[in-house]
Amino acid sequence: MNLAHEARSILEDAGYITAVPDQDSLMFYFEDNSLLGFIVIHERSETILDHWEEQQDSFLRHHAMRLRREPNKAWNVYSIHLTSDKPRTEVSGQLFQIEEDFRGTRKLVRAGIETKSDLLRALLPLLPIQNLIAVQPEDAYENLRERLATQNSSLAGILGDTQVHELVALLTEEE
Amino acid sequence: MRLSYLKMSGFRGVKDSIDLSLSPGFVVITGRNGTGKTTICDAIEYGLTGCIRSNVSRKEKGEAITDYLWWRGSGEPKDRYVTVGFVDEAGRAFGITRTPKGVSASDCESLEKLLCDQRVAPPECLKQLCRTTILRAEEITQLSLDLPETERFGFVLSALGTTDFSNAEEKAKDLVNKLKNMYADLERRYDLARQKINDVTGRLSEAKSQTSKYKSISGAEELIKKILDLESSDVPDLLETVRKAISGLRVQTNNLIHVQKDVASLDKRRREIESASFKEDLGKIENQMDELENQLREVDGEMEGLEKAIHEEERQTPRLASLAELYEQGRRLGLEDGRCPLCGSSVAETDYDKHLLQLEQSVKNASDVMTSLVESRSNAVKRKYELQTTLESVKRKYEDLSHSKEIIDREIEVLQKAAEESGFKDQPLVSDLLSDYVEDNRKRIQGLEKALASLEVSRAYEQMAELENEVKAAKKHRIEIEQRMMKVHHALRQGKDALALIRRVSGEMIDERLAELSPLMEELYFRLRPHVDWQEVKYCIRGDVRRFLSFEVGDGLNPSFFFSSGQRRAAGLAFLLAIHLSRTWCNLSTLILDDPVQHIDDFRALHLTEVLAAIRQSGRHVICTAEDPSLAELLCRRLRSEEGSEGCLVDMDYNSEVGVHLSSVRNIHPTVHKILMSA
Repeated sequence: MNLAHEARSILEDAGYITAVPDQDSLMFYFEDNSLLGFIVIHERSETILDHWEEQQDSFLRHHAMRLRREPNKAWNVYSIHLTSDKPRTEVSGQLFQIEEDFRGTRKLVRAGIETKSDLLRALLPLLPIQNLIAVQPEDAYENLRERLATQNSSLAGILGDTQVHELVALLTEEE
Repeated sequence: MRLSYLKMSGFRGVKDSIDLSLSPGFVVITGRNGTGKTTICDAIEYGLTGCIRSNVSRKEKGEAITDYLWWRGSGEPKDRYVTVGFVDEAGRAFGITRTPKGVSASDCESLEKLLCDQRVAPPECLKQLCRTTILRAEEITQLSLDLPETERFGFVLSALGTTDFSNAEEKAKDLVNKLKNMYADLERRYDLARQKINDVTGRLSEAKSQTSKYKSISGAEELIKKILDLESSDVPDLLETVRKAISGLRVQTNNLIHVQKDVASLDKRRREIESASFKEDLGKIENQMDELENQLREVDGEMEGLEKAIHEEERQTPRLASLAELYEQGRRLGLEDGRCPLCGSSVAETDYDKHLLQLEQSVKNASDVMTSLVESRSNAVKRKYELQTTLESVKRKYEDLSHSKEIIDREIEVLQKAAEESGFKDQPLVSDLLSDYVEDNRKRIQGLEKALASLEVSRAYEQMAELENEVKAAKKHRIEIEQRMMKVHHALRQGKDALALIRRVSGEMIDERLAELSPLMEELYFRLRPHVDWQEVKYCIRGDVRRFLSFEVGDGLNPSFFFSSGQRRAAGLAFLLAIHLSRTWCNLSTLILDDPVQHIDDFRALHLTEVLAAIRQSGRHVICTAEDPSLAELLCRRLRSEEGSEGCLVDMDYNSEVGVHLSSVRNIHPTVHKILMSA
């Protein structure tokens, strides 16, 4: 799975504009009306630890002038570091601590991304709710009525106005 | 449909009027403690339902929270009301105003119909709407992780608004119970029918056994009529007559047997009286009587002679007494100087003693004679008594023997009467005749008994036919009951299946709704990340009758018991937000959170902000209160103010004069420029 390609696709589906600043790097930008930021795809977990801060600062420096034009938006900058590499335990803890550093940008760091589902979960903070329930309530009464009627057509009367003594008579064929 | 404005006066901490336009995108409300952030939520709930729920349900000094719905501070507010406004997607506006007296004005016919899909809405849908729309700080864990499992299940169920089949279930239960009772009644009737068949079959078997013993009954009636000398009679009467006749004949026969014995005994005695030896014995007794009378006369003569002799001797008694006195005196005195003390004559001593001895002998002789006579008389008296006793005894024996015949005649007369009473008539009372008569009676009894048995067999045949018909009818009845039981059993099975189906469908619906809810809840939990290690949560349902809903993280761990309060609050928010977003019955798109970040750290507050942004991104209208101004600013930046769904930041304050009031309202304008892509 090409993480960069899939990540751009997901964000574009969510309404973001994306752009690749440098064809040779594994970084791309994204932006919508509220948010902006960059995503870097790393080959190894350790490189995230080595480069995240430098990449963040570089981004902020590079776009400082434009960010000043939109001070509210300037607060909503994300720097996202992704890798399919599975981190060692001690590295995993360190990666998590990067997210708790509130300086400069909001950081999202995710390692061990193997599937599109993993990638989607990694990018959730940027995406609208994914699992909204859109199913309209079916006519449960009709469903139950049909299922009762397959046993005995008289049984469907349980859902209607038929009185219980009438149901008894119908089921036992008592006149 | 979303909330569009809120107006109030004299409500809770608001003395003067507040008129708050609720921006279409989001509203962030900030302010210190006691500046009325929660009052905004209370006013919305009051406008929707006419009450506010509170965790302060108790009363103190007779007062409750309901006594504090309206302004209680100093001074009188100009007015007391709460107005909540709505606007739908088409731009149509509605509003409802409530005062302490109730609803005073409403633009809509029914708020319930406006806000809730009545087909699937839960009972008390507006209250349910408020519980799942206004997420209050103090309720976030109360309504989620801290809720008991069954109540949690009920909360989810009512919040999701599944179709209620409780009426159908009750009806099906009633149907099953009625069919069960009907079947139980049929089982009782079936048992009774079986019992009757067994009883009648037993009686039939008995009747058959009787009839097999007596094959012939011909002539039984004729025999009975002949024996009893009857004209004609129906069999039932004849049976009774014969039974009585046999009983009577048995009594008569027994009586005659006793009479016969007595007669035989009397006959023997009569023969003895008429015999020669009896007469000879009687003569001997007569002779004995004569002899005894002669002896008695002789004794009388002897006694008369003895009386005379005794009388003679008694005449000598004074003289003998004097002689005895003389002897005693002479012996005591003795000779006085050779002279007799009586006559004074001289007498020799030997002569004197000789005369005294003679005197003594004379007195002794007279005494011996007297004694002998008295003894003889005594013996004679004794003999006379013995003879008289013997004579009387012999006389009595003679009289008994001589009257025996008369006694026998009298006894015969009594027996004759007894024999006649027992049917022995017009015949001499002779033992042999009686014996013959008794024998005849026995034969009659035997004849009657055989005839009676024959007649009873005849009766048994008739009964047998009746019993066979009865058995047939009972078996037919049993088959009818059996067939009815099969029908009712079939109906009962169908009723039970229907009840199970209703429960199953109801359960399936719930499970389906929960299955729909599950990915949403898992997503929200993942977004809020309450715990660094357990980033996924699952719900777990168990129980058939009482159903339990619990949460699990990791390998079956229950977050309710080991998450910190902040983590529980974050997990609770995921749960409540999932429920809020799952209400397909609710037309109101506004989500209200009252200070949701209490006990939540900055990192998780950021997650919550991102979740609210995602909810906003999904088209929801969000109202959120936050005490922290910087968090309020963060919310305003992240909640996506866009063209057509802008947001606003409301700063609230309080002063003693006007109470709670709006300090400032700042619109959050959408971002115009792209930063990265502007080129």
